[in-house]
Amino acid sequence: MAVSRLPDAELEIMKVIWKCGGETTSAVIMNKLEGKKDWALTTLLNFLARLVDRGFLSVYRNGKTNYYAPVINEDEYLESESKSFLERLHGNSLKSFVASLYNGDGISRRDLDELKSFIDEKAGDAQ
Amino acid sequence: MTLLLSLASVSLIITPLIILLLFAAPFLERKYTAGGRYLMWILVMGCLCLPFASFIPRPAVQIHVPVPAAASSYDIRRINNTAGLAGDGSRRDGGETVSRGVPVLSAEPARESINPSSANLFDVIRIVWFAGIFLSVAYHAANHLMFKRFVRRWGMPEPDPGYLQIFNETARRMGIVRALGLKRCKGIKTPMLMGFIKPAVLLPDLSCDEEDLRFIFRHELTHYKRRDLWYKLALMITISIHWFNPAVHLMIKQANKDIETICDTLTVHGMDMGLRKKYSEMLLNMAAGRRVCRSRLTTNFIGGKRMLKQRFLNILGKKAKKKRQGAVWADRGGCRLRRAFDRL
Repeated sequence: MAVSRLPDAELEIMKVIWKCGGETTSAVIMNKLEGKKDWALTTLLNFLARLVDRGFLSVYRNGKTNYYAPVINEDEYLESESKSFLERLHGNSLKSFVASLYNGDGISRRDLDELKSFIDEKAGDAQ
Repeated sequence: MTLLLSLASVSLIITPLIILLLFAAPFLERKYTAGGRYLMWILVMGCLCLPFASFIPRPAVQIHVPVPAAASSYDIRRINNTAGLAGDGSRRDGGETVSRGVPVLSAEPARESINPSSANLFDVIRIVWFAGIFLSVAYHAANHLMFKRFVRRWGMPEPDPGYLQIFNETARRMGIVRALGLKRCKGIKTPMLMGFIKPAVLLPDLSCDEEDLRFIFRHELTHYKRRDLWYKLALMITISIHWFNPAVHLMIKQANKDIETICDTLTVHGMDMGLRKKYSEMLLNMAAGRRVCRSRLTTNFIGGKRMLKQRFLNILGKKAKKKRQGAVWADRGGCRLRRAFDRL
């Protein structure tokens, strides 16, 4: 499912909410962001309102307090952003400036078993 | 124009060597290692990228325009093939403008129409070449910046103190003095080294046992020690300049593979077969972890299974002993080269 990409600031807020593990309040979020972001409460509330409008958060009011809960979970969003990022990145571009441990395609279960046997065979031959 | 001709000439001259090295690789593997090819690619890159204009010989043949007696009142000089035509049809010879002489042959009107076209053609070629360089560099730079942004959004300093301890210990044992960063990044599927100014090892969001962690850190820190990122940058510059030459593209692909082969060889250097087997299994597990997310980054790659088999053969193969020694020698040779460059 394609999910719209979050700006950096809103992603930071979502990461805090995801880490909380459920519904949370703006006071808790402000507390978690202390030291990382220097926002006024009104700024945070604006961001939260935007996230609700975009469908990333749901909100309900209990007394005087708003409780925010994630609608989209982190893994789902990360997969969407990774996929979108990879679609924009082609061929050897990533390999140009990073040194990966493994940068080939994923392998099937059958290939996995075959390669495991290959390792056992070669290690046995070499001893 | 001289630069373009110089680079095109070099590209043409070097191409047969590249093709020979690529096609002979399976046979050369019995005698020469990935380390040997690594040094050869450095040499090839140097030939391809260093300015060669001064080494292009001046033409041995010079063209003399025959002057009939009736035309002797015109100042027609000896013309060599570097003389061009100005827009008004007069010739320039060594910077001096010479008036149009009486045509010896009736070719002069033809010369007027041919030479401006040739000049335009060279201009077009030059523009296309520069555009290719610009697009290639911009493409790689943009993608790298995008990836850096992705890491900034999803990466964090490694939170596990145990991981940090193993990382620092491994770096210390490898003689790395500089404090390198260790980050955890969701969304990446394999450990990697990145960063030219502030290099850091990135780990995916997976848990590993201590032994696998040591293998991973040893592998990535070997890349760091060998300055493989700078080597890859040189590869990128080479392919940007010679974007028009398919042999150079093939060379870059092989060179990237050779980097990994050498790194594997040096990582397992001194390890017994039991540890080599575990290292191979760790690589396999890392590849298996990518089953869920098939990366499109490998559009031009040969495929996971075949590449892994080649890596395992290198790590475990019967004839691996000579290759491993060769890689160590090549690594020492590479170190001497780097120290020589550092002194420049």
